[in-house]
Amino acid sequence: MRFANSIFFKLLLSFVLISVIPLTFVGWITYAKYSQNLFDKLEYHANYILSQKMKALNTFLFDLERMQSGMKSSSVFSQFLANQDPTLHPQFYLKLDVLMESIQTIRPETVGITIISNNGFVYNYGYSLNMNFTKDNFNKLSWLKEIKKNNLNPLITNLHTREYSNMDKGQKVYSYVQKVWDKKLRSYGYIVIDFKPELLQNILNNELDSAHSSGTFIYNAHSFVLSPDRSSHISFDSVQNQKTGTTIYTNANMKYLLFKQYNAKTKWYVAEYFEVDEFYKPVNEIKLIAWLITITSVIVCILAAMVISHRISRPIKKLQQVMINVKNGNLDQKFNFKSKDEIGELGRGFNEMIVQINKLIKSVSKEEKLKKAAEITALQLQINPHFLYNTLESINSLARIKKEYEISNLIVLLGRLLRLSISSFEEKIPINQEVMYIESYLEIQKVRMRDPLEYSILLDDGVKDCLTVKLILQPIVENAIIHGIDPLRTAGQVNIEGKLVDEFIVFTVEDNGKGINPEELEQIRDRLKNKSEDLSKYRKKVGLYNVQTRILSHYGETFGISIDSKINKGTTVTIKIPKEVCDDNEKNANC
Amino acid sequence: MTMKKMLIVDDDWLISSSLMSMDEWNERNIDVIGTAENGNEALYWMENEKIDIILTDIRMPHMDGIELTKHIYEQSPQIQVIIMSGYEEFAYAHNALKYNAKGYILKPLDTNELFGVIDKILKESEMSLPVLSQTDEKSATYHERLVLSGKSFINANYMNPITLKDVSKRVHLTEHYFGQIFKSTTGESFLNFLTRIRMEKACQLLKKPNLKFYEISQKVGYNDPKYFTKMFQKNYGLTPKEFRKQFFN
Repeated sequence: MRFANSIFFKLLLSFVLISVIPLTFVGWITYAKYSQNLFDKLEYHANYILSQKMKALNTFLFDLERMQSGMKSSSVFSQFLANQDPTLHPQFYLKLDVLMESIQTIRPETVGITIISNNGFVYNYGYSLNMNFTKDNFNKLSWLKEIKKNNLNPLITNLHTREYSNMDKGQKVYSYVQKVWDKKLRSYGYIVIDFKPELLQNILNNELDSAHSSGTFIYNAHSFVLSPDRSSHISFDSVQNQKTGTTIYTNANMKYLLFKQYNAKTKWYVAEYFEVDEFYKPVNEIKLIAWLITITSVIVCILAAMVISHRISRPIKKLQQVMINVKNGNLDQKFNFKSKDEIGELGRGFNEMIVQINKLIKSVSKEEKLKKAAEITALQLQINPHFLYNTLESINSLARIKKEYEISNLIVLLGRLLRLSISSFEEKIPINQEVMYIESYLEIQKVRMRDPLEYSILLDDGVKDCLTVKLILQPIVENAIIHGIDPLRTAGQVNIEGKLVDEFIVFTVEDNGKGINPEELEQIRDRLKNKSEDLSKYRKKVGLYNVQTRILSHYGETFGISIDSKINKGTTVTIKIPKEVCDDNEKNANC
Repeated sequence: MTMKKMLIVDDDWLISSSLMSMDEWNERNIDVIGTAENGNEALYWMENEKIDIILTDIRMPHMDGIELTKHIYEQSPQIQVIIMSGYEEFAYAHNALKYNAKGYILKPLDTNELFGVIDKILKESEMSLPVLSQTDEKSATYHERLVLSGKSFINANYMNPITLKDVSKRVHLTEHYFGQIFKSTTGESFLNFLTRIRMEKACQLLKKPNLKFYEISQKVGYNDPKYFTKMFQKNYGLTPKEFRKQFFN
């Protein structure tokens, strides 16, 4: 049998299909839904963070604007711009310092405010000015040139060195620059508010802890305004034209997810980047967990299915093995299985069946043996009876030629005897046949006996046509002659009578032989009563007990043989059978 | 009182001859005219002799006793039949009765029983028949009977390669003596008679178109078909083939 056809395999397959498919399906759905959800949340979160940062940046810019407008609205400032007198200039320092002191409180983190009037005066606050750095020097600065072109909107410069500072020329700062007019709009100047990159960084990175996996940067149309962290290796080219939400690849084989928003006021793009692996870490974790759970469940399911299938199929397999053994002729098999389920029942039924089959086989073989023995006996008895008769007739012919009429007569009698005893397969025969048989037998015995033997047969009317079990008289008569008359060596007499008594036929066989002594008689009577069957079956006693057995088995307990005897007077055997009339068909055949 | 003629039919010569030799037949004025080995032979006897009683076995080759009894019942019911048999099967006894057999005696034969039946038959015929049939029938001589016995044997056995020796044995005479008796009684030699019988049978068989020549040759006792053809031509002046052609034209 192929493995694919076995019950074990079928069970296993069904269990696995039932468990693994839904499990995988559920696992996949759960993972897909959950990760989508998480992804959305993460994106939303990232955008939210970016918005927050934009808000903070706007607030900062708004603050700077307020500082600027605060200055613009003061009359001192207006006067300073309008002032053309160098001598008055130092006085403005004092007045403006007071103003600035209050203005700078809006954004104390700013590191310096510079006002440049077109009249050539420069005012500085919060740092020491390089006295040699005049208005013309300022006008040469690139960002101041830029503001000149676009004179209405404020500008935030890129990071630049503070060349106009006395103390820390190398300090890199951003500057908020705005062109302003005095109240009479006759003269103008520039307000420059410096702040350090750290300030911008603080505003933007306030919520982030991890240095490498994420960060914020700002760029405009030309370059980075605030560069991303160096370790991220993000180049300007790679981010320049990307849309928000895309993934970028760096030279160092890092993947980043990029979100950005545009600030119209400053023309800045504020971008937030996340390392993809880090960003999707929760999603990946979920993925991993989902896979782990699914795979573990599947393995557990398969193992369980294997165990269950094995447990179910094992007894069946065992039963099958036992059956194969039985098929191959080994009938001593037993199916040992204690379970009380159907298979256990099946096994018990099977065991019972085997026991029965064994019994049957034994009884059949025993029967066969007996039958064979019986057949052989029958064959021995019946070796072609016609040959026997023809041979007898040949002997008869020879006797006739030689005029030996006694021999001829004896042969005829023997022929009759043989006919009656072996040719007929009927169990029951008419009584006249039985009597003919007895006559033939007695005639033969008459010739054989040394001493004269006389016999008489008397039958009531109607007895002749009744049926009897075959060969019940002959053994009795034989006993009478062999055991009764022969030992006496005197003239013998056998009287046979058949009488009709009510609905029974009673035969009596009476001899004048030596009789049986009382102890022996008692023993015979006891045996007749109780042991006739055993004796005739196993001890091959064909006489009295055999007749008794056959009468009992045919007619029942109420019939049979009784025996009476007196020493030296003779023995009388009585046989009682029911009256059974030969019907017409049988009459034609047998009577 | 007229002599009754009786035929004994049994394939066992010992039985038939022992029965034939019994003195009781003479005592009862019965003439046992011969024995036959089977039904065919018995029929041949019946054609050539007027028979009153037939004592027959059942199991015999070629034609068994029941068939013979039936034939007699249909063709010559005046013949009384007694059956003797080793078989006591109901079917046999039933058929015997149906074809009006006078007795059914089992083997080994009880002669008392047999003569009981014979006596009964004699008694019946005595009562019913006036003296009548004897006049035109002259009784066959002893020699005629021997020859008849031989002829019946030939008739029943022509299909076998038989010789004068076989036939002589059958009638318990020497070849030479039987040959002489045969010739003097019939006027033709034994061999001529045998050949004539065979040729007559061959003519009959040739009228059946489905039989091959060699088959016919076998059926009339010639193992060599060429020899058969030669003998045929010698007897009739034409070959078996020509004979058949002529017959069908």
